[in-house]
Amino acid sequence: MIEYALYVGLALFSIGIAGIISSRHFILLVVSGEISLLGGIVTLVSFLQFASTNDGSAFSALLSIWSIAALEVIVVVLVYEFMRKKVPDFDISKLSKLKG
Amino acid sequence: MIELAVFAVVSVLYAVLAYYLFNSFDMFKASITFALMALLSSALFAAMDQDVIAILQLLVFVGGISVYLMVGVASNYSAAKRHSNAKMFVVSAVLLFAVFSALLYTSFTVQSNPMQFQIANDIQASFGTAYLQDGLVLLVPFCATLMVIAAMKRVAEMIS
Repeated sequence: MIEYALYVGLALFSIGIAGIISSRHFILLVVSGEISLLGGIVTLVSFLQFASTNDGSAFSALLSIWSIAALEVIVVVLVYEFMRKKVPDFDISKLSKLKG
Repeated sequence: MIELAVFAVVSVLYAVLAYYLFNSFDMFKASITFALMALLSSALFAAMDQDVIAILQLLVFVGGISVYLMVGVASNYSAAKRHSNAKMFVVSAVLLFAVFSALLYTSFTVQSNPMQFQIANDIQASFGTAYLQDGLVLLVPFCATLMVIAAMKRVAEMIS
C-alpha cells in the first residue's frame, strides 16, 4: 500500500512542479506550490503509516508543512492585493512594474 | 486489489482536477478546484486509516487555505484569459512523474541488507559506508532532476 501512496504523492508533486513551469498567473503559481506541498504531505503520511511511529516527529513535520502552506498563502494574497493596483493582468513577467 | 483501485481512482481524479485547474480562465473556479483536490487528499488519508491527519487536512487546507485563497481571489475578480500552457503542463507533468517514478522504483529494487541493522553497533558502522554510498548514488539523479526542471523552464520561456 505504501507504494501506491508514494506514487500518488509523486504524481501530486509532479503536477505542482509542472504547474509552476507552465503557468504565468500569480495565483496559479501559488496553487502549484500548494499542490507540491500536498504531494509532500501524502508522501510523509504514507511513510508515517509504514513506520507506525508514535514519537511525534512525523506529526511535527506535518505541522511544519501546514504552517508553511498557510503562511505562503497569506503572504501571497497580500502581495496579490498590492499587485492588483499596479498590474491589471497579474502576469508574473510584469512584476518589474512593482518597482518603486 | 481494492486499495489499488482506490488509489487509481484518486490519481485519475487528481489528474482531471489538475488539468481543469490549469486550463481554467477563471481564477475563482481554479481556487475551488484546488479546494476539491485538498478535499480528495483528506479522503485519501481517511482511506489510509489516518483519521486525525484527515481531519486536520480538512481543517487546514479546505477550511483555511482554500477559503482564504478563494476570498482573496474573489475580492479581485478577473477572468480575462487563460494563463497556462496546457500542452506544456501535460508534457512536463508526465515527464516529471516518469523521472520521479523511475527514481522511486530504483529505490525499491535496490534495497539495503536488513541483516546489517540487527545489531546496534552495526548501525553506527553502516552509516559510514552504505549510507555514504547511497547518498552519493542518489545525488546524481537529484542533480539530473534539477537540470531537467531548469531545462524545461528554459524551453517554456523560449516557447512563450
